[in-house]
Amino acid sequence: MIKLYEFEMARAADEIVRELVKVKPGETFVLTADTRSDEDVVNATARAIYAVGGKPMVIWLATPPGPGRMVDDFLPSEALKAALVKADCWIEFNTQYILYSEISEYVQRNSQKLRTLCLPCMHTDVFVRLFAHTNHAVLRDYLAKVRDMIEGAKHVRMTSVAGTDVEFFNNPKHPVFSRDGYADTPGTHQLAGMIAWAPELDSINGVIVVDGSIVPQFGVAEEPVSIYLEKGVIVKVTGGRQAVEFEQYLRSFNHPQMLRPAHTCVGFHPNTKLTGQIGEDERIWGGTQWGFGSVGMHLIPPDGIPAPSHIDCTCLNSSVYLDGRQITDKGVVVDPLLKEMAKALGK
Amino acid sequence: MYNQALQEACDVLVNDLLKVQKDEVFVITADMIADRAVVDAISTSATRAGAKLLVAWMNTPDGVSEAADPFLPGQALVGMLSATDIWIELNCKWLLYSDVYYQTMKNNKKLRHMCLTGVDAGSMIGCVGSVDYDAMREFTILLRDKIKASGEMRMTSALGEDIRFHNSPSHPVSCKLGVVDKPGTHLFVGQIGWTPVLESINGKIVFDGSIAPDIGIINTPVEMTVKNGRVEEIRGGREAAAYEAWLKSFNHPQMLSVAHTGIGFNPGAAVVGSIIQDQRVLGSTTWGFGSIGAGLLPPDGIKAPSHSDAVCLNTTLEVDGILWMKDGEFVEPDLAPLAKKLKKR
Repeated sequence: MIKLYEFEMARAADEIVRELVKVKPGETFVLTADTRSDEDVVNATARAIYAVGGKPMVIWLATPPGPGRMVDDFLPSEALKAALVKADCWIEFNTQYILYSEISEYVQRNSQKLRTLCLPCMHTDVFVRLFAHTNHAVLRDYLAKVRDMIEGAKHVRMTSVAGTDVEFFNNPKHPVFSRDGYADTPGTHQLAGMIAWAPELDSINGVIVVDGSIVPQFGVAEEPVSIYLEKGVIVKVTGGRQAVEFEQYLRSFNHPQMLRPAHTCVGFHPNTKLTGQIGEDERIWGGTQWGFGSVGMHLIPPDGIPAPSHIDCTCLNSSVYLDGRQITDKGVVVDPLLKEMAKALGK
Repeated sequence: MYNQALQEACDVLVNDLLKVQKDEVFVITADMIADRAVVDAISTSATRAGAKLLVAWMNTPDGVSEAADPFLPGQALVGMLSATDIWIELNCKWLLYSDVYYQTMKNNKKLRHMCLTGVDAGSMIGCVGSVDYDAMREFTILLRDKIKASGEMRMTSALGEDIRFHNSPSHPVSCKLGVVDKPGTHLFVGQIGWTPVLESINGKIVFDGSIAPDIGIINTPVEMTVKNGRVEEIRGGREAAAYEAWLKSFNHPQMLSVAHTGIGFNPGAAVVGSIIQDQRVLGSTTWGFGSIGAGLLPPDGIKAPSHSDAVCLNTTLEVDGILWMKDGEFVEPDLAPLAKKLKKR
């Protein structure tokens, strides 16, 4: 019996290997995965790497209890680091992601050539939806325009149908990243379809109402979770069962940064749907997203802000205002230039 | 039942032989023709023992040893293995004697390397799970000491083999006692290998077991004439022609030179086309050609682009005028009774 999307998998993997990572013959390409990762995705990617003359090395690991720094003591860290610093390319398929861990930071500091693409929790259906049917070159241009707009803004306000109303100031020293999926230059790259940046953390005030998902720890939100922030610190969380568990989870670390935002994002991938998959949810077209906990060194250079873990929360149908100018309204693009460009993406 | 037997054999490997400790970094390497059931079963045993497991799959090189290097993600492998406590090598196209191997062993003096190249479920059950290790140790030490003390050897067989050589007291006699909790490279128990005085090796060897890599199980005996340790002529059928072509393809003199000989005595081993098992078949003898490890010929061994092993079954072995094996059966008075106890009951 044929497996789910068996034919389409090859196209998705080819898109990653040839278009996004641009693998060259002879390059060492490490794929890491844990025992909850989707083996079909990993093997399809390894096949595509081998087909273009790359040297795939597929590393399977036990599944740590949590992502980020929670993987460090659990995994064979020194062996992993040593393999990764000698690699040319790395795709991380781990469900409990290595990004934000000490392993990840060490590798970023010690390899000048490594092209990393983070695709945690990637499953077959998401893999095919986001890679086999996306024109990444067009998406890249669109995202670059949004990034430029955000980079030029001093003040940002985000609202949503579910009740989000949060505002903050940007810090010009914090880079604004267009996550366009291209991993053809050294550094850490992400799935295409969002703009991510760390605001001036102390300036964040208001309420974030999460009605998408809370990942990777909780999955799709059963009912809205309202997170109240004052000067960049969570002061209250309200909602149902998940709201209670979410707050308990953050407080269980007894670490101040676990109660502070790490970054925000706006999502613009044309083919996403809400599934509870971390990468896909935070790229839902017209959504906004907040991370809490550890801040990557790329977001707040040079060192980021360490914390024991990291969690990402998605708000659907958002409205975004840059210095008072609205670019999206309840998830729909309203800025005239972006609206025109979005047509080429089928939006 | 088969799964159960495989898991038990892997538990023996991890707990009794490797003596894996909690939090030890335990790396398994495998290529695309390795037996996944064995990878998974060893992974289960290692995880159960509390090790930090890392399984690295890679593509299958076109060759073994140094010939494998161009196909491998070499520096990533060396880096990883240099930060590892235990390395189980399940690659069918072995890394042993490759640059990856040499660099790793140079960098990592604490590494316990278990070379299980090409081992499938049947090999694990037969060669690891079916052995009486106490009897095996006693027998192996006795045989090793006798070889160390020996001078002239003659190997013959019903197929017409007749090869003679003498041993050097300065060449180590390498054997595995089943205790692999010390750094270094370890193999299945049930084989003793050594490098004779190379120039003294003269006569005819007749291989009828298997040849690795690439050739596999032998259907038509392969007759090899050796003069002063160098291959003079290879005759036989299809396998002989293929083997000669393979050895000569490297255009390297050491590939046509004897590297070592050996005696097999693992009671669970059978000829299956996997050299690590084939060369341990009870009563067999093996000849290696090409690169020589430093462990067999100190201090540096002899480098070559690759290495090959070829197996003769049912050998008759005469040592300093005394019959040790007759048609593959140990008959020497000290060895014979112990040989009967090697299989776990």
